[in-house]
Amino acid sequence: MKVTNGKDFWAGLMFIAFGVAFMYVSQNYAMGTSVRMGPAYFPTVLGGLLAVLGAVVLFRAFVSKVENPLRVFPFTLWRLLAGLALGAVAYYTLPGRDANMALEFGHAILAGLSVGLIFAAFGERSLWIVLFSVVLFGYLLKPLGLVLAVFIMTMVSALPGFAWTRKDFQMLPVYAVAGVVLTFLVLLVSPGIQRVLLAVLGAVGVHLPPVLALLFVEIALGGVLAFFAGRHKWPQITAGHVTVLSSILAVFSVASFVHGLGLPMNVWPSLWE
Amino acid sequence: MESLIANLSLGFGVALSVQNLFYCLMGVLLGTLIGVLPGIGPVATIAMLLPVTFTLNPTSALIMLAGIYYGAQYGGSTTAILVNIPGESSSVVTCLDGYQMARQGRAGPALGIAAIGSFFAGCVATVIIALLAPPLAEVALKFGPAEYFSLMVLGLIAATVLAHGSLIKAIAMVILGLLLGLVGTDVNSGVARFSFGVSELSDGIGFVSVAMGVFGFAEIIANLEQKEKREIFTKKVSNLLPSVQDFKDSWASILRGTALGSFLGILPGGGALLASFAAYTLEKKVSKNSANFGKGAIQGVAAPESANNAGAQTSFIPLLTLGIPSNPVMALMIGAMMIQGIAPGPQVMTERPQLFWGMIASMWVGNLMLVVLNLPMIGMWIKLLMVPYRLLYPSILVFCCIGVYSISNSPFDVMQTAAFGVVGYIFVKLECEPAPLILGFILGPLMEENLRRAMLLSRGDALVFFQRPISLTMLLIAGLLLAVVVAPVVRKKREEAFVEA
Repeated sequence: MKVTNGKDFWAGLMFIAFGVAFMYVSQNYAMGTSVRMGPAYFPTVLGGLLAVLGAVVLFRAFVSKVENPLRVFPFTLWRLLAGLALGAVAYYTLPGRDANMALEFGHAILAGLSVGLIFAAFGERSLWIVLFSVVLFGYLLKPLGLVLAVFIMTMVSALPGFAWTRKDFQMLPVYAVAGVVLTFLVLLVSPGIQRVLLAVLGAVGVHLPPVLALLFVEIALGGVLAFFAGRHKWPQITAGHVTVLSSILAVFSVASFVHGLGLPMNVWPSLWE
Repeated sequence: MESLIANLSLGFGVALSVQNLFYCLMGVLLGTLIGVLPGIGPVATIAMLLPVTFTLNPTSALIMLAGIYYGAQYGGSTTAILVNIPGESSSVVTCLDGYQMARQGRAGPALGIAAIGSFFAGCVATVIIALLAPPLAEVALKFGPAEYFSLMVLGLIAATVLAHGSLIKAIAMVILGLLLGLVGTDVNSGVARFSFGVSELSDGIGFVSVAMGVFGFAEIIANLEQKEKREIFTKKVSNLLPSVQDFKDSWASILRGTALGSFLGILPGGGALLASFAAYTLEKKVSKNSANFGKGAIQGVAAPESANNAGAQTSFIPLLTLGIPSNPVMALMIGAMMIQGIAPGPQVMTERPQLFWGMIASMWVGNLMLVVLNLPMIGMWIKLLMVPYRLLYPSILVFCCIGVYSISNSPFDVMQTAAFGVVGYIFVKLECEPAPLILGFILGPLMEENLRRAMLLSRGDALVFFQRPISLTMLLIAGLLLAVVVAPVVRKKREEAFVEA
């Protein structure tokens, strides 16, 4: 018996694992009868079906004419295990509400490390760096505010130099400063323009939600700024950089949009407010 | 006929209000903007922009989402023609001839004929929807839970049959999707299933997280793994209007593409992707100079582009009349409707005629906007294309993250999306198509609910699905589809078709 199609082999195992897991967890719930189905009925049937299909896929892996190596993607077991272990520690040592800052901080690092390790177990750098930057963003947004979170996320997602060149990194401070300054300017002047826009639109008979008006004002302002930034012959700044800047601005527009909904997504670090 | 005109005029009255025109325009523009970015398809685009529509009223929100969809489709074909990167899977075939045309310095006519063909197809499809939707909805109103259950089985089976790759894996993915859809509080008993004590999970897994992780993040990661080698033909995009000869060559292709696309879009599991593949194959068979295909034949752009737009629109028919999504984009639309508090199904048409007909009319308006606005704006989209991907992807990531975060303003959603990014990456590596998973995910709770009701009504007799004629017919068709695909002859053909295209 030899596995010819590695992809089918792992896919089969994955389906079996999912199927069995769903069936196993379903046992905690009431099965019911076929007339009155309990919460466990449907998932148990489906889980069984999934496991059977997984077994068929697994079987095919041994007889398939398609050849794929068993090592479909670089996978490191120790990272996964270490990550899961750290995660378990983090889960059971969750600090209470009145814990001091140092403890909380240490716990956050522990949890972050565990997540990073779990992602890193699945091989390729692009995968775990991109996803780790995403998680980082999610957790940093509240304490650090949008500006810093976006900055850190951009840094991390470009960190390994696998995508960005040295020159791109040299441009980073420019992005950062310009992005922050422009955001500040845009957020400063946009409420005024928003009011004017709403008044004008109201006169025409269009009732735009104020939030949306703000969004468009900011996108437009960002576009105008980006346009002039593009006209100016700054050293090293290319069309690409301008586009990046304007997309950053658009991001801030979205943020203020969210802001306008009353959702507490802060733009600047919460310590300032 | 009279009611058709009355309905359409009601719809245009809604769609042409200044407010809705504005949202349609914003949707089309935003959709194109993001659709042009290489490697971001309509599903990821819609998932990304969905939170923006939460605050709008349902009609405007759906009009805007539909606009985003067409915009993203259109942006996808622009990248296909100019950069040879399909922005989405349905413009894969457009790459074949469109890119060759661009290499020959005919990028302008290629973009022009794509836009004109799409617009024509959009007009026809709008009329088809207006004609077909009311009778279908009337039939659907007679459906009981048993019929609905069988219909969903048929829809899911059809979706797997039409997915490419292994059939068994596709079915397994559907089931996995159904199971994931069941996570969360059970409606009947109030038990929080598979939530492991995590309070966020008791509301279920967010479908934006699943879509964004599996389609958005996984795509970005896959793009990063490939070394960048792009050749963009941007310098010489002039003369967008195709010549008279071009029109003579391609009008028949546009007609055929539209007809085929409209038909395939209605089928469960169909939609833009299948339509464009089928139209290209048909065109190659019918054409007198089939040797020219793949070397810059204008028919090879006109037919699939018309077909995918027609298919994209007519796939709204099963959504609006039956409440069954036929592809992942429609699954997202259902999710959006549910968030707006509308239960998708035949009753939408009778209970909310404004929304229903307004949306249909807005489809035509949106297509017109695409032609009128995007042809002159092509220069701007090209500028965007010139940005190297390595500089672009952090911005895309930021957009995705803010979108996910703003759904419920919690880091948990972001985390969950990242986890689905890993899952999506593994799916790609193991050659498991993610599209059936999303369909299953949306239909999971609906399917369980209808199964329960049907069994309750029949007092536990499973034969009820075979005793009711409509239900039986649908199950028979589903079985037939499976049997046909498994049959060796067809299986070989099917594999060939996907390899060829």
